[in-house]
Amino acid sequence: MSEPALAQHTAIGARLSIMMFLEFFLWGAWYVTMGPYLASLKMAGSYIGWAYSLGPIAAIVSPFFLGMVADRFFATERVLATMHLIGGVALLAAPFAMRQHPSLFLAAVLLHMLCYMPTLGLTNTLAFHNMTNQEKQFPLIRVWGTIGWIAANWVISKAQFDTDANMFYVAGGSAILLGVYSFTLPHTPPPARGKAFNIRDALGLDALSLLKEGSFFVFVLCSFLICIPLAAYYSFAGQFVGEVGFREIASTMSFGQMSEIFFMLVMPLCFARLGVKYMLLIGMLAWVVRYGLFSAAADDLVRWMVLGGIILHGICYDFFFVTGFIYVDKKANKNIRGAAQGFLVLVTQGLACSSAPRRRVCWSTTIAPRIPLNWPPRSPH
Amino acid sequence: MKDQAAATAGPAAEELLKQASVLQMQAINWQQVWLAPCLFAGAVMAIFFLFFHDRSVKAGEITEEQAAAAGGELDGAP
Repeated sequence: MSEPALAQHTAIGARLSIMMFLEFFLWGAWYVTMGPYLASLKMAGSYIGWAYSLGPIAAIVSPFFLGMVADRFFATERVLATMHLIGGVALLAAPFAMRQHPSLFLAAVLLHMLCYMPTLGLTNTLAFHNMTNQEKQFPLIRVWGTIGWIAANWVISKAQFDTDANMFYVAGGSAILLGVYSFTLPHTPPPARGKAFNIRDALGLDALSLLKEGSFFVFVLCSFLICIPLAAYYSFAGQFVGEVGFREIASTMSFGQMSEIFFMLVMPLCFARLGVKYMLLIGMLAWVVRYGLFSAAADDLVRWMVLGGIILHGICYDFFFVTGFIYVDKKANKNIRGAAQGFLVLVTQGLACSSAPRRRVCWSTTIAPRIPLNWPPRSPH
Repeated sequence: MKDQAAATAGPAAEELLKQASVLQMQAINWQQVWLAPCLFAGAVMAIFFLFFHDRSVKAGEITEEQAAAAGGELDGAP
Protein backbone atom coordinates (compact mmCIF):
# COMPACT_ATOMS: atom_id res chain seq x y z
CA MET A 1 0.00 0.00 0.00
CA SER A 2 1.42 3.44 -0.96
CA GLU A 3 2.10 5.94 1.80
CA PRO A 4 -0.84 8.32 1.04
CA ALA A 5 -3.19 5.32 0.66
CA LEU A 6 -1.99 3.86 3.97
CA ALA A 7 -2.42 7.24 5.72
CA GLN A 8 -5.93 7.58 4.26
CA HIS A 9 -6.80 4.04 5.31
CA THR A 10 -5.57 4.68 8.87
CA ALA A 11 -7.54 7.93 9.01
CA ILE A 12 -10.76 6.21 7.93
CA GLY A 13 -10.12 3.43 10.45
CA ALA A 14 -9.74 6.03 13.22
CA ARG A 15 -12.93 7.81 12.15
CA LEU A 16 -14.89 4.56 12.12
CA SER A 17 -13.43 3.63 15.53
CA ILE A 18 -14.63 6.96 16.98
CA MET A 19 -18.07 6.24 15.52
CA MET A 20 -18.15 2.80 17.19
CA PHE A 21 -16.88 4.23 20.48
CA LEU A 22 -19.64 6.85 20.61
CA GLU A 23 -22.29 4.38 19.36
CA PHE A 24 -21.79 2.14 22.40
CA PHE A 25 -20.75 4.89 24.81
CA LEU A 26 -24.19 6.49 24.55
CA TRP A 27 -25.91 3.13 25.12
CA GLY A 28 -23.68 2.13 28.04
CA ALA A 29 -24.18 5.53 29.69
CA TRP A 30 -27.80 4.82 30.60
CA TYR A 31 -28.77 1.22 29.87
CA VAL A 32 -27.02 -0.47 32.80
CA THR A 33 -28.06 2.10 35.37
CA MET A 34 -31.62 2.84 34.26
CA GLY A 35 -32.81 0.04 36.58
CA PRO A 36 -31.08 1.43 39.70
CA TYR A 37 -32.31 4.93 38.74
CA LEU A 38 -35.92 3.75 38.47
CA ALA A 39 -35.57 1.73 41.68
CA SER A 40 -34.30 4.87 43.46
CA LEU A 41 -37.58 6.54 42.41
CA LYS A 42 -39.42 3.64 44.09
CA MET A 43 -40.73 2.31 40.79
CA ALA A 44 -42.10 -1.23 40.97
CA GLY A 45 -40.33 -4.22 39.45
CA SER A 46 -43.03 -4.46 36.78
CA TYR A 47 -42.35 -0.87 35.66
CA ILE A 48 -38.60 -1.53 35.43
CA GLY A 49 -39.37 -4.71 33.48
CA TRP A 50 -41.49 -2.69 31.06
CA ALA A 51 -38.76 -0.10 30.62
CA TYR A 52 -36.29 -2.83 29.66
CA SER A 53 -38.81 -4.45 27.29
CA LEU A 54 -38.74 -1.41 25.03
CA GLY A 55 -35.33 -2.22 23.54
CA PRO A 56 -36.34 -5.69 22.33
CA ILE A 57 -39.60 -4.26 20.94
CA ALA A 58 -37.53 -1.72 18.98
CA ALA A 59 -35.26 -4.58 17.86
CA ILE A 60 -38.28 -6.31 16.30
CA VAL A 61 -39.36 -3.14 14.47
CA SER A 62 -35.83 -2.23 13.38
CA PRO A 63 -35.46 -4.64 10.39
CA PHE A 64 -38.65 -3.19 8.87
CA PHE A 65 -37.29 0.35 9.09
CA LEU A 66 -33.92 -0.70 7.70
CA GLY A 67 -35.46 -2.73 4.90
CA MET A 68 -38.19 -0.30 3.90
CA VAL A 69 -36.46 3.07 4.33
CA ALA A 70 -32.84 3.28 5.47
CA ASP A 71 -31.27 0.74 3.11
CA ARG A 72 -33.20 1.89 0.04
CA PHE A 73 -33.53 5.63 -0.09
CA PHE A 74 -30.92 7.51 1.95
CA ALA A 75 -27.16 7.58 2.40
CA THR A 76 -26.25 5.55 5.47
CA GLU A 77 -24.31 8.32 7.25
CA ARG A 78 -27.28 10.70 6.93
CA VAL A 79 -29.78 8.21 8.32
CA LEU A 80 -27.34 7.49 11.14
CA ALA A 81 -27.01 11.21 11.90
CA THR A 82 -30.76 11.84 11.82
CA MET A 83 -31.58 8.86 14.02
CA HIS A 84 -29.01 9.86 16.62
CA LEU A 85 -30.16 13.49 16.69
CA ILE A 86 -33.79 12.48 17.25
CA GLY A 87 -32.84 9.72 19.68
CA GLY A 88 -30.53 12.07 21.57
CA VAL A 89 -33.29 14.64 22.06
CA ALA A 90 -35.56 11.85 23.35
CA LEU A 91 -32.94 10.84 25.93
CA LEU A 92 -32.37 14.45 27.00
CA ALA A 93 -36.13 14.78 27.46
CA ALA A 94 -36.44 11.55 29.50
CA PRO A 95 -35.82 13.09 32.98
CA PHE A 96 -38.29 15.91 32.20
CA ALA A 97 -40.80 13.32 30.99
CA MET A 98 -40.38 11.41 34.26
CA ARG A 99 -41.22 14.55 36.22
CA GLN A 100 -44.47 14.87 34.24
CA HIS A 101 -45.57 11.23 34.35
CA PRO A 102 -43.75 7.87 34.36
CA SER A 103 -45.62 6.77 31.23
CA LEU A 104 -44.07 9.69 29.37
CA PHE A 105 -40.65 8.50 30.49
CA LEU A 106 -41.37 5.12 28.89
CA ALA A 107 -42.49 6.93 25.73
CA ALA A 108 -39.20 8.87 25.61
CA VAL A 109 -37.16 5.68 26.09
CA LEU A 110 -39.23 3.90 23.42
CA LEU A 111 -38.67 6.76 20.95
CA HIS A 112 -34.96 6.64 21.68
CA MET A 113 -34.75 2.87 21.24
CA LEU A 114 -36.74 3.01 18.00
CA CYS A 115 -34.13 5.45 16.72
CA TYR A 116 -31.15 3.65 18.25
CA MET A 117 -31.70 -0.02 17.34
CA PRO A 118 -31.44 0.48 13.55
CA THR A 119 -28.18 2.38 14.05
CA LEU A 120 -26.48 -0.85 15.26
CA GLY A 121 -26.95 -2.26 11.77
CA LEU A 122 -26.19 1.08 10.11
CA THR A 123 -22.80 1.47 11.82
CA ASN A 124 -21.86 -2.05 10.69
CA THR A 125 -22.97 -1.25 7.12
CA LEU A 126 -20.98 1.96 7.14
CA ALA A 127 -17.88 0.26 8.53
CA PHE A 128 -18.04 -2.65 6.08
CA HIS A 129 -18.50 -0.32 3.11
CA ASN A 130 -15.38 1.67 3.96
CA MET A 131 -12.97 -1.14 4.83
CA THR A 132 -10.52 -2.81 2.47
CA ASN A 133 -10.11 -6.06 4.44
CA GLN A 134 -13.31 -6.65 6.41
CA GLU A 135 -12.27 -9.79 8.25
CA LYS A 136 -9.10 -8.23 9.63
CA GLN A 137 -10.19 -4.61 10.11
CA PHE A 138 -13.73 -4.97 11.44
CA PRO A 139 -12.80 -6.57 14.81
CA LEU A 140 -10.24 -3.81 15.41
CA ILE A 141 -12.88 -1.16 14.78
CA ARG A 142 -15.71 -2.95 16.58
CA VAL A 143 -13.70 -3.49 19.77
CA TRP A 144 -13.87 0.29 20.23
CA GLY A 145 -17.60 -0.17 20.72
CA THR A 146 -17.03 -2.41 23.72
CA ILE A 147 -14.37 0.01 25.00
CA GLY A 148 -16.91 2.82 24.60
CA TRP A 149 -19.46 0.85 26.65
CA ILE A 150 -16.90 0.24 29.43
CA ALA A 151 -15.77 3.90 29.35
CA ALA A 152 -19.38 5.06 29.68
CA ASN A 153 -19.91 2.80 32.68
CA TRP A 154 -16.83 4.25 34.37
CA VAL A 155 -17.73 7.86 33.55
CA ILE A 156 -21.21 7.38 35.03
CA SER A 157 -19.84 5.76 38.18
CA LYS A 158 -17.00 8.23 38.71
CA ALA A 159 -19.46 11.12 38.28
CA GLN A 160 -21.74 9.35 40.78
CA PHE A 161 -24.64 9.31 38.32
CA ASP A 162 -25.45 5.60 38.94
CA THR A 163 -28.91 6.39 40.29
CA ASP A 164 -29.12 9.93 38.99
CA ALA A 165 -31.10 11.40 36.07
CA ASN A 166 -27.88 13.04 34.83
CA MET A 167 -26.99 9.73 33.13
CA PHE A 168 -29.60 10.59 30.48
CA TYR A 169 -27.97 13.97 29.85
CA VAL A 170 -24.57 12.28 29.37
CA ALA A 171 -26.12 9.69 27.03
CA GLY A 172 -28.30 12.22 25.17
CA GLY A 173 -25.38 14.62 24.75
CA SER A 174 -23.25 11.79 23.36
CA ALA A 175 -26.02 10.87 20.93
CA ILE A 176 -26.24 14.46 19.67
CA LEU A 177 -22.45 14.55 19.34
CA LEU A 178 -22.50 11.30 17.35
CA GLY A 179 -25.38 12.65 15.26
CA VAL A 180 -23.36 15.72 14.26
CA TYR A 181 -20.21 13.64 13.81
CA SER A 182 -22.04 11.19 11.53
CA PHE A 183 -22.52 13.92 8.91
CA THR A 184 -18.71 14.00 8.55
CA LEU A 185 -18.38 10.22 7.99
CA PRO A 186 -17.51 8.86 4.54
CA HIS A 187 -20.39 8.90 2.07
CA THR A 188 -22.07 5.47 2.00
CA PRO A 189 -24.84 5.04 -0.57
CA PRO A 190 -27.94 3.05 0.40
CA PRO A 191 -26.94 -0.63 0.01
CA ALA A 192 -30.33 -1.82 -1.28
CA ARG A 193 -31.20 1.08 -3.62
CA GLY A 194 -33.62 -0.02 -6.34
CA LYS A 195 -34.46 -3.33 -4.69
CA ALA A 196 -38.04 -4.15 -3.72
CA PHE A 197 -38.80 -4.56 0.00
CA ASN A 198 -39.71 -8.05 1.08
CA ILE A 199 -41.02 -8.96 4.55
CA ARG A 200 -39.51 -12.44 4.27
CA ASP A 201 -36.08 -10.87 3.77
CA ALA A 202 -36.54 -8.33 6.57
CA LEU A 203 -37.46 -10.96 9.15
CA GLY A 204 -35.13 -13.59 7.77
CA LEU A 205 -38.02 -16.00 7.18
CA ASP A 206 -36.13 -17.80 4.40
CA ALA A 207 -34.09 -19.30 7.21
CA LEU A 208 -37.18 -21.19 8.40
CA SER A 209 -36.25 -23.98 5.99
CA LEU A 210 -33.24 -24.70 8.23
CA LEU A 211 -35.61 -25.58 11.08
CA LYS A 212 -36.49 -28.83 9.33
CA GLU A 213 -33.17 -30.13 10.57
CA GLY A 214 -33.63 -31.49 14.10
CA SER A 215 -30.46 -30.14 15.70
CA PHE A 216 -30.88 -26.67 14.22
CA PHE A 217 -34.43 -26.60 15.56
CA VAL A 218 -33.13 -27.60 19.02
CA PHE A 219 -30.51 -24.86 18.78
CA VAL A 220 -33.06 -22.16 17.88
CA LEU A 221 -35.55 -23.39 20.50
CA CYS A 222 -32.91 -23.43 23.26
CA SER A 223 -31.55 -20.02 22.17
CA PHE A 224 -35.08 -18.61 22.44
CA LEU A 225 -35.70 -20.20 25.85
CA ILE A 226 -32.36 -19.21 27.38
CA CYS A 227 -32.91 -15.58 26.35
CA ILE A 228 -36.18 -15.31 28.30
CA PRO A 229 -34.43 -15.21 31.70
CA LEU A 230 -31.79 -13.03 30.06
CA ALA A 231 -34.37 -10.24 30.13
CA ALA A 232 -34.34 -10.54 33.93
CA TYR A 233 -30.59 -10.05 33.96
CA TYR A 234 -30.73 -6.90 31.82
CA SER A 235 -33.61 -5.51 33.86
CA PHE A 236 -32.54 -6.19 37.43
CA ALA A 237 -28.83 -6.97 37.66
CA GLY A 238 -27.88 -3.30 38.07
CA GLN A 239 -30.41 -2.78 40.85
CA PHE A 240 -29.29 -6.00 42.53
CA VAL A 241 -25.60 -5.02 42.38
CA GLY A 242 -26.46 -1.68 44.00
CA GLU A 243 -28.49 -3.31 46.73
CA VAL A 244 -25.75 -5.83 47.54
CA GLY A 245 -23.66 -2.80 48.42
CA PHE A 246 -21.58 -1.86 45.38
CA ARG A 247 -21.75 1.91 45.20
CA GLU A 248 -20.29 2.25 41.69
CA ILE A 249 -22.89 0.14 39.93
CA ALA A 250 -22.02 0.89 36.31
CA SER A 251 -18.25 0.45 36.66
CA THR A 252 -18.79 -2.78 38.62
CA MET A 253 -21.02 -4.10 35.85
CA SER A 254 -18.39 -3.18 33.25
CA PHE A 255 -16.14 -6.00 34.50
CA GLY A 256 -18.46 -8.21 32.45
CA GLN A 257 -17.52 -6.41 29.23
CA MET A 258 -13.84 -6.54 30.18
CA SER A 259 -14.05 -10.31 30.55
CA GLU A 260 -15.85 -10.40 27.20
CA ILE A 261 -12.79 -8.93 25.49
CA PHE A 262 -10.56 -11.49 27.23
CA PHE A 263 -12.72 -14.49 26.34
CA MET A 264 -13.00 -13.32 22.74
CA LEU A 265 -9.25 -13.92 22.48
CA VAL A 266 -9.46 -17.30 24.23
CA MET A 267 -12.54 -18.47 22.36
CA PRO A 268 -10.94 -19.79 19.13
CA LEU A 269 -8.58 -21.98 21.17
CA CYS A 270 -11.52 -23.43 23.10
CA PHE A 271 -13.56 -23.83 19.91
CA ALA A 272 -10.81 -25.93 18.35
CA ARG A 273 -10.83 -28.33 21.31
CA LEU A 274 -14.51 -28.39 22.25
CA GLY A 275 -16.57 -27.93 19.10
CA VAL A 276 -19.98 -26.27 18.78
CA LYS A 277 -22.02 -28.41 21.16
CA TYR A 278 -19.76 -28.07 24.17
CA MET A 279 -19.03 -24.40 23.49
CA LEU A 280 -22.77 -23.70 23.57
CA LEU A 281 -23.23 -25.92 26.62
CA ILE A 282 -20.49 -24.07 28.51
CA GLY A 283 -22.14 -20.77 27.53
CA MET A 284 -25.47 -22.01 28.93
CA LEU A 285 -23.78 -23.39 32.04
CA ALA A 286 -22.25 -19.96 32.65
CA TRP A 287 -25.78 -18.50 32.72
CA VAL A 288 -26.90 -21.17 35.21
CA VAL A 289 -23.87 -20.54 37.44
CA ARG A 290 -24.29 -16.76 37.21
CA TYR A 291 -27.94 -16.86 38.31
CA GLY A 292 -26.99 -19.42 40.98
CA LEU A 293 -24.23 -17.18 42.35
CA PHE A 294 -26.60 -14.21 42.45
CA SER A 295 -29.21 -16.28 44.26
CA ALA A 296 -26.71 -17.69 46.76
CA ALA A 297 -25.21 -14.23 47.37
CA ALA A 298 -28.52 -12.53 48.09
CA ASP A 299 -29.12 -13.46 51.72
CA ASP A 300 -25.67 -12.70 53.15
CA LEU A 301 -24.66 -9.98 50.67
CA VAL A 302 -21.67 -12.00 49.48
CA ARG A 303 -19.97 -9.55 47.15
CA TRP A 304 -17.40 -11.91 45.59
CA MET A 305 -20.21 -14.14 44.35
CA VAL A 306 -21.93 -11.20 42.70
CA LEU A 307 -18.67 -10.03 41.15
CA GLY A 308 -18.02 -13.59 39.95
CA GLY A 309 -21.46 -13.65 38.34
CA ILE A 310 -20.73 -10.39 36.54
CA ILE A 311 -17.33 -11.56 35.29
CA LEU A 312 -18.98 -14.70 33.88
CA HIS A 313 -20.52 -12.38 31.29
CA GLY A 314 -17.51 -13.01 29.03
CA ILE A 315 -18.28 -16.74 28.86
CA CYS A 316 -22.04 -16.18 28.71
CA TYR A 317 -21.72 -13.82 25.74
CA ASP A 318 -18.76 -15.20 23.78
CA PHE A 319 -19.37 -18.91 24.23
CA PHE A 320 -23.11 -18.74 23.66
CA PHE A 321 -23.94 -15.82 21.36
CA VAL A 322 -20.76 -15.68 19.31
CA THR A 323 -20.61 -19.47 18.90
CA GLY A 324 -24.29 -19.42 17.95
CA PHE A 325 -23.60 -16.75 15.33
CA ILE A 326 -20.75 -18.84 13.88
CA TYR A 327 -22.86 -22.01 13.96
CA VAL A 328 -25.61 -20.34 11.94
CA ASP A 329 -23.02 -18.94 9.56
CA LYS A 330 -21.66 -22.43 8.91
CA LYS A 331 -25.07 -24.10 8.64
CA ALA A 332 -26.74 -21.66 6.25
CA ASN A 333 -25.73 -21.56 2.62
CA LYS A 334 -24.58 -18.25 1.14
CA ASN A 335 -28.04 -17.31 -0.19
CA ILE A 336 -29.81 -17.42 3.16
CA ARG A 337 -26.90 -16.64 5.51
CA GLY A 338 -28.00 -13.03 6.15
CA ALA A 339 -31.61 -14.16 6.60
CA ALA A 340 -30.56 -16.85 9.08
CA GLN A 341 -28.57 -14.36 11.18
CA GLY A 342 -31.46 -11.89 11.10
CA PHE A 343 -33.85 -14.63 12.16
CA LEU A 344 -31.62 -15.62 15.10
CA VAL A 345 -31.38 -11.99 16.27
CA LEU A 346 -35.18 -11.67 15.96
CA VAL A 347 -35.72 -14.82 18.05
CA THR A 348 -33.14 -14.11 20.77
CA GLN A 349 -32.88 -10.34 21.13
CA GLY A 350 -36.42 -9.55 20.01
CA LEU A 351 -39.02 -12.24 20.72
CA ALA A 352 -37.45 -13.82 23.81
CA CYS A 353 -36.40 -10.60 25.54
CA SER A 354 -39.66 -8.81 24.79
CA SER A 355 -41.81 -11.41 26.54
CA ALA A 356 -42.72 -8.66 29.00
CA PRO A 357 -46.25 -9.77 29.92
CA ARG A 358 -44.92 -13.19 30.85
CA ARG A 359 -42.14 -11.55 32.84
CA ARG A 360 -44.68 -9.39 34.58
CA VAL A 361 -46.53 -12.49 35.76
CA CYS A 362 -43.22 -14.09 36.73
CA TRP A 363 -42.13 -11.05 38.71
CA SER A 364 -45.49 -10.64 40.35
CA THR A 365 -44.95 -13.98 42.03
CA THR A 366 -41.57 -12.98 43.40
CA ILE A 367 -41.31 -9.25 43.94
CA ALA A 368 -44.98 -8.42 44.22
CA PRO A 369 -45.70 -10.18 47.49
CA ARG A 370 -43.35 -7.74 49.18
CA ILE A 371 -43.68 -4.62 47.07
CA PRO A 372 -47.07 -3.41 45.85
CA LEU A 373 -47.42 -3.53 42.08
CA ASN A 374 -47.41 -0.12 40.55
CA TRP A 375 -49.17 -0.26 37.20
CA PRO A 376 -50.19 2.13 35.77
CA PRO A 377 -47.08 3.83 37.18
CA ARG A 378 -47.42 6.81 39.44
CA SER A 379 -45.42 10.01 39.32
CA PRO A 380 -42.47 10.10 41.74
CA HIS A 381 -42.97 13.81 42.37
CA MET B 1 -11.70 18.52 64.71
CA LYS B 2 -13.04 17.97 61.23
CA ASP B 3 -10.82 14.94 60.77
CA GLN B 4 -11.96 13.59 64.11
CA ALA B 5 -15.61 14.05 63.10
CA ALA B 6 -15.00 12.32 59.79
CA ALA B 7 -13.21 9.49 61.54
CA THR B 8 -16.11 9.08 63.94
CA ALA B 9 -18.82 9.53 61.29
CA GLY B 10 -17.02 7.28 58.76
CA PRO B 11 -17.60 3.91 60.42
CA ALA B 12 -21.03 5.02 61.63
CA ALA B 13 -22.03 6.07 58.14
CA GLU B 14 -20.65 2.80 56.75
CA GLU B 15 -22.72 0.88 59.27
CA LEU B 16 -25.86 2.87 58.41
CA LEU B 17 -25.33 2.26 54.70
CA LYS B 18 -24.87 -1.44 55.35
CA GLN B 19 -28.05 -1.55 57.40
CA ALA B 20 -29.91 0.29 54.64
CA SER B 21 -28.55 -2.23 52.16
CA VAL B 22 -29.73 -5.13 54.30
CA LEU B 23 -33.19 -3.57 54.66
CA GLN B 24 -33.44 -3.05 50.90
CA MET B 25 -32.37 -6.63 50.28
CA GLN B 26 -35.07 -7.79 52.66
CA ALA B 27 -37.70 -5.81 50.75
CA ILE B 28 -37.21 -7.95 47.64
CA ASN B 29 -36.71 -11.69 47.81
CA TRP B 30 -33.63 -11.62 45.57
CA GLN B 31 -32.79 -15.23 46.31
CA GLN B 32 -36.06 -16.33 44.70
CA VAL B 33 -35.71 -13.74 41.95
CA TRP B 34 -32.45 -15.32 40.71
CA LEU B 35 -33.31 -18.92 41.57
CA ALA B 36 -36.13 -19.07 39.00
CA PRO B 37 -33.92 -18.16 35.98
CA CYS B 38 -31.17 -20.41 37.34
CA LEU B 39 -33.46 -23.47 37.33
CA PHE B 40 -35.02 -22.49 34.01
CA ALA B 41 -31.62 -22.07 32.32
CA GLY B 42 -30.52 -25.40 33.83
CA ALA B 43 -33.55 -27.14 32.29
CA VAL B 44 -32.85 -25.55 28.89
CA MET B 45 -29.23 -26.69 29.13
CA ALA B 46 -30.36 -30.26 29.83
CA ILE B 47 -32.69 -30.22 26.79
CA PHE B 48 -29.86 -28.93 24.63
CA PHE B 49 -27.45 -31.59 25.91
CA LEU B 50 -29.89 -34.40 25.23
CA PHE B 51 -31.25 -33.38 21.83
CA PHE B 52 -28.52 -31.45 20.01
CA HIS B 53 -26.36 -33.83 17.98
CA ASP B 54 -24.98 -31.76 15.13
CA ARG B 55 -21.50 -32.82 14.08
CA SER B 56 -21.51 -31.07 10.70
CA VAL B 57 -19.59 -28.09 12.07
CA LYS B 58 -16.15 -29.35 12.97
CA ALA B 59 -13.96 -28.07 15.78
CA GLY B 60 -11.01 -25.94 14.71
CA GLU B 61 -12.84 -24.31 11.82
CA ILE B 62 -12.66 -20.74 13.06
CA THR B 63 -9.87 -18.26 13.43
CA GLU B 64 -9.43 -15.58 16.07
CA GLU B 65 -10.43 -12.96 13.49
CA GLN B 66 -13.61 -14.80 12.55
CA ALA B 67 -14.59 -15.08 16.22
CA ALA B 68 -13.95 -11.39 16.81
CA ALA B 69 -15.81 -10.40 13.64
CA ALA B 70 -18.79 -12.58 14.60
CA GLY B 71 -18.91 -10.98 18.05
CA GLY B 72 -18.91 -7.54 16.49
CA GLU B 73 -21.74 -8.28 14.11
CA LEU B 74 -24.14 -9.29 16.86
CA ASP B 75 -26.79 -6.60 17.17
CA GLY B 76 -27.14 -6.32 20.91
CA ALA B 77 -25.67 -4.94 24.08
CA PRO B 78 -22.06 -6.07 24.53
